[in-house]
Amino acid sequence: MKKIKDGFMKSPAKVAILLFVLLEILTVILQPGALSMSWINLKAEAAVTLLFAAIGETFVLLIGGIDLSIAGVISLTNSFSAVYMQDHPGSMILISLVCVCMGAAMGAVNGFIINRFRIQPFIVTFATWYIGGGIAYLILPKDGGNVPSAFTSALTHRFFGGKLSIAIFLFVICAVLWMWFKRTRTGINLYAVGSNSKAASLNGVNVPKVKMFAYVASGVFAALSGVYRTAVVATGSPTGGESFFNQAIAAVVIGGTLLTGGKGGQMGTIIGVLVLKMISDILVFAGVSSYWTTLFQGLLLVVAVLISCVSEIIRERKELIG
Amino acid sequence: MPDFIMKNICKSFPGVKALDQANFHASRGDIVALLGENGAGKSTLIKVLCGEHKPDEGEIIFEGKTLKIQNTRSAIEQKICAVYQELSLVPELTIAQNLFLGFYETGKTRMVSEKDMEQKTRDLFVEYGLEPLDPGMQVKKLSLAQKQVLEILKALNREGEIMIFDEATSALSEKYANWLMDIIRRLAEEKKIIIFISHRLDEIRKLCNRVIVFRAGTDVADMKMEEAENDELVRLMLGREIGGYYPKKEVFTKEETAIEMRNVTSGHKLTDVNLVLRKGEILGVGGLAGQGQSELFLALFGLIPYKGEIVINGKTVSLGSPRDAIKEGIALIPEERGLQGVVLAQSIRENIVLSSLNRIKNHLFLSEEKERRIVSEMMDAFAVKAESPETLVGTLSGGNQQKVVLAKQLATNPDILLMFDITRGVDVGTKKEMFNVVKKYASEGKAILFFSTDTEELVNVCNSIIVMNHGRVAGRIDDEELITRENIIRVSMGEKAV
Amino acid sequence: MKGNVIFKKHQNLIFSYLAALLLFAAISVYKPGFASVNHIKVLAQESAIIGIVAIGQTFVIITGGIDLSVAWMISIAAIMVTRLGGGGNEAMIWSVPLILVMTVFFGLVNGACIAYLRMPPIVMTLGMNIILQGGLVAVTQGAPGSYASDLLVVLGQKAFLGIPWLLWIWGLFTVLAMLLLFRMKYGRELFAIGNNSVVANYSGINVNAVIMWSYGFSGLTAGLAGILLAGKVGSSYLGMGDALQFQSIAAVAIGGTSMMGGSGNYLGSVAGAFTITILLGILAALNLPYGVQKMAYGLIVLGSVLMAARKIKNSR
Repeated sequence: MKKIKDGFMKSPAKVAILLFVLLEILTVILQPGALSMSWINLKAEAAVTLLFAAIGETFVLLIGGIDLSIAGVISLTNSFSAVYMQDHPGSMILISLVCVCMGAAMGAVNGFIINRFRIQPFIVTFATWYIGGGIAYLILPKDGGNVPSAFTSALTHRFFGGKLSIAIFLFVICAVLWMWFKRTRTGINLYAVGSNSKAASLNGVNVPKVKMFAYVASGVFAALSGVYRTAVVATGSPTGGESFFNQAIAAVVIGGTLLTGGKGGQMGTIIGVLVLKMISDILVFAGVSSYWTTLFQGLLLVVAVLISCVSEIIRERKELIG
Repeated sequence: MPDFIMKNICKSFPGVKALDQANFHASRGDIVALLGENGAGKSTLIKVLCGEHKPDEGEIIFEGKTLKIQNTRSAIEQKICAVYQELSLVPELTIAQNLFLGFYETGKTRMVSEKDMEQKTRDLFVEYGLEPLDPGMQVKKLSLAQKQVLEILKALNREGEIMIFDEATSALSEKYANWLMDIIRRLAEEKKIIIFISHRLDEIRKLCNRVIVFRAGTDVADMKMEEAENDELVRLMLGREIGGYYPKKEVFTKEETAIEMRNVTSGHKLTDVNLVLRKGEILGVGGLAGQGQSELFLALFGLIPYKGEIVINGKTVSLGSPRDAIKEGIALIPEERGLQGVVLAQSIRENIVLSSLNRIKNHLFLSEEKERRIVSEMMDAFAVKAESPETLVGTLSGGNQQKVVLAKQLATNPDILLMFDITRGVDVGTKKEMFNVVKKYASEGKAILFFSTDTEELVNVCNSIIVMNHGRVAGRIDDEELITRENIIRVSMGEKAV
Repeated sequence: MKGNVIFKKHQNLIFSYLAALLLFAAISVYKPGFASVNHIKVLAQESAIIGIVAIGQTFVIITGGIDLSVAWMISIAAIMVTRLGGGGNEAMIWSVPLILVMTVFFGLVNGACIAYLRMPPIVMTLGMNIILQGGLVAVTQGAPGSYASDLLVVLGQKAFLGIPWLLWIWGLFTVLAMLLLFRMKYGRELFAIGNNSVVANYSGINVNAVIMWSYGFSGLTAGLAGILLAGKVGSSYLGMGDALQFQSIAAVAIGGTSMMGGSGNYLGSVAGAFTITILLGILAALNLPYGVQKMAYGLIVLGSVLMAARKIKNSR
């Protein structure tokens, strides 16, 4: 018990966990029937797109970078898959793979420019966001496309007689993979580079390689997000990804990963995604107009960061005064 | 033929030739001291050896083979391991993760076994006779001394053939410094090559068998330790005779108090400091390294919070920020020239007026004429050598940069000057000029608090000395006759000056 | 010798203007109508709005920060100026000052959180943007905006002495911005902080206040741009400032102001604003799809930051 308590207090995601529990309780009070399996499945499906986007962003924030281009990649892969996918399993797999490659390529371009020319990640990915978004418009000038319904049903398939959706599996897979990944060499190196890249480099860590990994991972996950969006929304949009940078950053930051790098992780991000998604539901349950959702999401983002910044300042002052 | 040779190493940075045909050699079993002033090229040589910088020219030979060091990793793989002065630790990782950083062993699952690593960490602590720390603790929670021990352990664990210790004892207590020296002797017995950098001559004398002196980017001497006299070493490092260049001491101290500290306490670093600094006085601050000297200066310039009273001209002032301090007529020449003193990417002109923008204002706008006057006045006063006031400070030599720092801080017309190690990394000629400047300002009635890492300087420049120990003022030496190196040490150990 | 020094110092600036001129010349040859007086006026009005937003953005970027909240500051200002007091001419006497005070206040909140509470600028201003968006949507319940008053339309669309009102206003603010940056204490402090905030603090500069006011200033110019934009478009609608977010940052980047902070010149951002509108005009003239425009934006920003990075390397 004590170990759990210690682990919780140490966890950078403690604010997110508390919020999650609080929102969960609120949900149960406001809408007692809501916690059915089918409702959870539905919510999970609605959250996967953001989950992938936020996971990708987390990798980059962990090394102390930032990636705005995920918005472009999501739009691009969403449009591309919606236009070119045929109603044939081979095509679905091929197109999805092509999308992942596009995401990886975008990440590689970001990583290369940031490593080679030492330009701020912000402005580089800002530019590549627009390049990606532009290509999306060229592929699909207007919302639409032709998504095979088999693709939708494949990715929203429910196992065990409709009890468990693929989306829930995806959440679990992401969590398990992360538990594994953060113990690998690259996983630890991500933290090392984000916390102190000079020291990491002096110890023989290949810093550019680690940075490249993070940006490519971000691109790949953004692509997955775009492809999944194609399936759940069953349509493509050249602006499909536009809002995802904001939301992903919000989810990651609420989950306890800071912009300074080296702190946080995907577990927090996963909870952050859930918190962000639950807020809008709670507001609906509480009878607040959905027009208020955005405001609360914004406030949550600012307050979450505010808490961590202010506690850092207090800690520092304590140390100084002694 | 020595086992390890660095031959004709050259390395230039924009505006500076850091290494100029530098040589270094050692044989297995040697403990070589690398001596030199700041900026003499010691650390650049180490950085070249560890793969942090690529040399422009030169060769590194180990046991007859030329080493190709592409990056830090290849240096470590070729058994060159360093304990870095600035500590190469990652604060967010655990002790175990830091110890094995860059060289994690993974199994079939490609996972790094936390358990194995933590066990190995515990074993390492035991092997080197240390009190074990929790291997799962984050490094950011360690004290500076603990971090330094960890940094040493990390290098030892890599089992290098060439081991570099760059100021590895700077944060260690005497007990741990002795611990380290025992280990280094053991390594030498195992026929490793040790490069030891320290500014404590006594330590070097106890430990090393050879000494190589660097000056101005090149090696100027190589001798056996027992044949090297302290005075000679210092002379070689500085390239001059000791003492000869200090201006004649005069006393300008007046009766009036310029600034007084009453029971000033700040954190753990400054405890109950009482201090009176008079107009025209040059008061030195001595003591061993890190006894609160730097905090004393920071508190007086409003950079760290303090409890207690600071009185200027009979008025209790509150120094909450450098802005307040400057308003009260205080100027600080800070420790880190490039980080705290001047904006390297801006011109001399912009830097000189940066602290005194209010002085060049004509109502709303800045007056170019006033600015020009102040800039040329200050550049003349400090003999800043540059093509024009528009020259970027970053392209100047260290000495000239320091002059710009002085010019900038003194452009505010202060009454109280806090000078923290103003001669650090500055060439001899400039040092001499600076001592004259200090004397000149004292003669004008300004009160000067003077700190230097070089005790010799304190002895030769100051009218009085306070000695600090554990954040307290351990004693004060006012008698001109009694201001000697030995007495400063005596007072810091709680004895009386004789 | 001296000319050479001046050229080197203003190399970025000269390049930005050359790029804008070159683009303009090329398209004028291809499409003669492009260089007509009327079309140039249209381009200038477009540039003016971008340029005004870019004033505050330049200030913020010089400190090493970024303002991602201008998008909805603009929208809020535009919606409010067309709706407060019925959006008539008379109401503007009090609504315009009120709006500007409000956007400055939002900017100051950004700045205070960033400077005093050390929030990362990206998160803080992004959060502010989302809050403003959410707040505006919640208050208006997603309803569309209204039509601009006659006075606003005159300011946004008409000319005075043959020069569009927007250009007069932009010109005035450009002079103000340049005075602030290069002739006043505030500008010196801004550049010093962007280069090295520790040195700035040691030099007695009130670093936090200077940073805070740079965001306040950005709020002011964004609010002003929103008001003028309503007049230029003739009406207001939700999300009308979104495009200006990117355009203002792009203008600063193209103008050679370093994204790391510490160096820059608002006149560069002016050239950047022109470059963007000319590019926009070219794509419209050539009948190219919107996607190409978006890509061109990205490429030109990437190109200019790469060029700036190479110059830094060469000068070292």
